[in-house]
Amino acid sequence: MTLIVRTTTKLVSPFMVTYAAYLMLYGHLSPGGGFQAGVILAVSVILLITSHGYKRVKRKFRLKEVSLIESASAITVIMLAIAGIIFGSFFYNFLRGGEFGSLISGGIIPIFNIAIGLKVGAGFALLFYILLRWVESD
Amino acid sequence: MRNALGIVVFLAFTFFLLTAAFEIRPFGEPVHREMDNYFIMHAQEEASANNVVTSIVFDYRGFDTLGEATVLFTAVAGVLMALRSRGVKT
Repeated sequence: MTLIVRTTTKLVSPFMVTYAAYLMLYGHLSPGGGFQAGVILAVSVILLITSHGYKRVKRKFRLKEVSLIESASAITVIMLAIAGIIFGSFFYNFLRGGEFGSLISGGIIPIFNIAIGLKVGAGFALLFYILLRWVESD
Repeated sequence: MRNALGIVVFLAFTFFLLTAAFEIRPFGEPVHREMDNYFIMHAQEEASANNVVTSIVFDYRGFDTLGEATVLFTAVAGVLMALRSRGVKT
């Protein structure tokens, strides 16, 4: 890609990561949530791949690490759900409390949001990685 | 013959959709509103979150979100299996 596209994507993608983090952390207070945050997180990496090429991005964001993040956050979600069984039922919100409208409220919802966001973002990025690996090997 | 069958099926389905569209309930008047009222009244104290939509998606219907995450995981696993770079030894 040209220099203009490279510079613009380099400039835009950190802000997209920030926006994704905001959507994840404030999902229980403002519109948003884990899925949207994850998709934006994945798009920030996919933008870099489309502008800089798969081989250059692969050196910074390794496929093994992306895969590890995806699996680890999936396990976190399931463990969080199973931990609710101790307090009552599957997916029971056992960390209730905190002032309404503050960042530390909503119980397990923020943790769940972050885990789902990382999982979706890593999953989409991993899909793109695998497809590109197949295209490049041909 | 196949074209005639297709046209008949198309007309029947269009008629079905049109009747459904004309007999739809007016907007804002659902049949069952107990669940909605329960969520609106109790979501804040039960999930302790201000965003009712998030508390439904991630708390009351956590199973649904878990299923969506599983669908994504299955998609990744399927693509990884179909487009693997090296052959798997059997």
